[in-house]
Amino acid sequence: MRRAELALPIALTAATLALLTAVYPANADFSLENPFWNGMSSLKSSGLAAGLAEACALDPREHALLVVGPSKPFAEADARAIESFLARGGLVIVADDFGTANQLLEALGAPVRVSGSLLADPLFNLGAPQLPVAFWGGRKLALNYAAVVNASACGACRVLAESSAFSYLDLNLDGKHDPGEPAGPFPVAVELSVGAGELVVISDSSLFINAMLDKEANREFLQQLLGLRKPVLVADRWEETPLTRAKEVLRSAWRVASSPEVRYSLAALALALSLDWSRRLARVNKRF
Amino acid sequence: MKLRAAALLLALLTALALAQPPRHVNPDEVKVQRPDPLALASAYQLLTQLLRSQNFTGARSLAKLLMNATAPGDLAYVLSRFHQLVLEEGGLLNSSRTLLDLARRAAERGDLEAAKSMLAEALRALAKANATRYGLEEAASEIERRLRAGATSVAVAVAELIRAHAGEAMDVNASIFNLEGTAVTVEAPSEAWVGSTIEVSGSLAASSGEPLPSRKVTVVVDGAQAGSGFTDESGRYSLAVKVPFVYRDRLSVVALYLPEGEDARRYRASASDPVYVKLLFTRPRLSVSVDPREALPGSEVKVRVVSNVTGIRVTVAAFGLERSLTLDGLESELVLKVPESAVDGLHKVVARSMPNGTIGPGEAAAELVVSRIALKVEKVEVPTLLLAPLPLPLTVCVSSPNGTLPGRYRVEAALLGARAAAEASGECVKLALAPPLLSPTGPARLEVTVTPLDPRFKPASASAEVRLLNLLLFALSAALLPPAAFRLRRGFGREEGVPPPKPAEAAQREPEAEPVAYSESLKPEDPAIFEYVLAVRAVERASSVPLKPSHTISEYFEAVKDGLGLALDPFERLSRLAEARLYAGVEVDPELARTLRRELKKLLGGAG
Repeated sequence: MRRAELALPIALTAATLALLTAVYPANADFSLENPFWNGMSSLKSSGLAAGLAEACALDPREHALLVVGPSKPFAEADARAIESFLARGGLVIVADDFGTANQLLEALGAPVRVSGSLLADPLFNLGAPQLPVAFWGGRKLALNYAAVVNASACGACRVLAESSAFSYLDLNLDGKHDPGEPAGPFPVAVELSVGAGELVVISDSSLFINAMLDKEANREFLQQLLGLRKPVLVADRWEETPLTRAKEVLRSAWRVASSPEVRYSLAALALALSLDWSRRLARVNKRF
Repeated sequence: MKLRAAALLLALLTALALAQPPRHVNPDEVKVQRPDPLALASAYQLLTQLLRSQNFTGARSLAKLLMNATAPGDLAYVLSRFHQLVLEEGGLLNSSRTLLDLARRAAERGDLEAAKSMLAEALRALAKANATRYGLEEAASEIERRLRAGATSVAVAVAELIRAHAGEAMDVNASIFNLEGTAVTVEAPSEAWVGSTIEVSGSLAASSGEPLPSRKVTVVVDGAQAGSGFTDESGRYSLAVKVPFVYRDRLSVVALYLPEGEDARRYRASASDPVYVKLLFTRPRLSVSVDPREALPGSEVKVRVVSNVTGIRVTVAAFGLERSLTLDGLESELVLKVPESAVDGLHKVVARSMPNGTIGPGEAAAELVVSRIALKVEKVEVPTLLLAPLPLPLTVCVSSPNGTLPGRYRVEAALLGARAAAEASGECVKLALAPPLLSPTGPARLEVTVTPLDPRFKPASASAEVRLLNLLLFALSAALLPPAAFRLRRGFGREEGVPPPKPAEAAQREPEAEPVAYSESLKPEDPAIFEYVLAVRAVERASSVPLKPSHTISEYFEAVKDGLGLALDPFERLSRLAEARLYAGVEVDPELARTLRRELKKLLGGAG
């Protein structure tokens, strides 16, 4: 079969694949485009999304940074950018459970850490001990496979929310309280001053995902933290899935294709091809 | 061996992955589980302890918390109802406890009406608690049946408390109706210096008016016991009381009679109406001023304190810090350093003098304005047109209203996600910012932030509009446009009759293969069709039947077949091949077509 005859099916398949990739919703954890239960499209609709460097350059009086469930390591420059944002009076909310936020907290010199142990509550939960309920003043926060905040070395930390006295750390992940496993209450959200700014550390990355945002008082909690500031989700701290990577490639290609140079070149090419095809069509019509 | 090692590694990785809990699960897909009986039992044990120690506030808080416990189906209702009833019982028992205590105290001080009313309220609360108890016991036994969590111990504790409170109510009832009332009075001077001694006197008598001699009367000054004395034959008492060093306008004096021994079963306690003594002491007049009134963080200000009393010790408080000084004369001053972390705004400098004997405390405050120097981004120099991705040279100049600049400051510039930062001193700083590789051509916003490392200055920011021209994208265009232009030109050229470039196979054509008028519509660039066209040319010569533009391949074959003789077969096969190639797009071996055309030419002989 001739190459020209193969070109059309290949081009059609590629176009269909690209279209499907673009149209199929993202399903990665915490993805801002993911409309399913584990995404953060709901939160994105009420705020902004930006890369860490870009987010740190925003006005801290009007914006608050949200670092949710980071899985990529933080470089020294990232910590310095956040430090600069805090120094200008900014608010940074770090929500993480088993991720890499401790690396950032260490670089910021904050005396709090997110413990990597699973918090469970056999009495106060959303149906399972691993979905415990924490208490924020008189209201409740719904957690999902959360850890706890270790603020024992932080004298100036203010505990915003803590788990119940019946909660415990399920160290061996067997789903029940065993002798020797520490019992609650444990802090799950603390606030501390860093420079002129405020740092809030929450030991659950899932507090603001689509399925959890409207559970109990999670949304009110975030609104209370933000005040009049607009949330800016730091969107470049997650490992990418093949789908999100493909979407990003498509988006980049679209950005490049949208530039005037490429746009006009493609238009000229399309014109040339269409003229060539119309000429061939006319020749066939003439022959028969 | 390698396979085994790989399997071992895979198993290890799987085990590690399983050891790590998931980051979250879909809460809407979680099946509600029964509460852990052990956890619930420990909660009920704690609840029982709190009730038994009559810590009703703690018990109610715990019951309220337990109302949030999660359970599946109707168990959730049973648990919720049980905790609700415990909450109610806690409230009722707390009321009865408080009312009984108040009734007992009212009875002891002789207020019989109040005592009766409170006792009646306490009995009503107990009756209600007793009625609720049955529901509580039923819910407890249901929980016990389903979970074995020790809920009955809570119900037992509630029942015991109801019985105990009912017994106490009977005792209070007896004391109200059997004791005789007493009356105690108190007299004191209308004014006194702080620290001086005053004489407090009064009388004690039974409700019948009969004086009560040799009874102990306690005098309470400003809420604290100041002394006690015994009544004489006529029921009068008198004692010297020291006025405490308190610096208020007045203080209260009350006399109490608390029956002791045999009297406790005969008389009720009584308290006098309070009398008030005006307090005398010297009030120092303090004033405080700061110089200058407006200061920068890290700078020093003078705080001057003036008083009408000498030798007093004054504490100056500002920015959360305290400094002390003693006024040797009537005034004194100290130097206060404004902390570097002080925020802009109005701050209070408060001077307080400590009381000393008959000299009371004094306080005065002054206002100090802390205002950092507003740094301004004076100029952001960028080229009018930026060539991306080449580094962009950038000059940022800063200024301040009073002309002073911070020793060091940090400049950060951001453009389309790319960042550059530099630390500098002086008016201007140069830095280079490399725009992202695929920056789109067009306008973009450059954000510049200046953060002073000197606390006396405020940060500043500015932005500038720049126009980007991406050379890389232009190179891409340059690579795309010539082929497009060439293609375009070729398309137009063909329309105008310019002969097409010969295909590679054309190199193998025979010398007689000259183009014919109809050959273009028959796609002569195809080697198989080209052979057919040459064959048609030979057939035309032999049969004198020309191929008309209206002829299809089959029609032309039909038109000439009778005159072809032996050459019919190769021409028929060649016609079919041409048809298959032209209309069905079938791949045809050009070598076969060439062989057939040569065979045809041979059979046609001289005619071909």
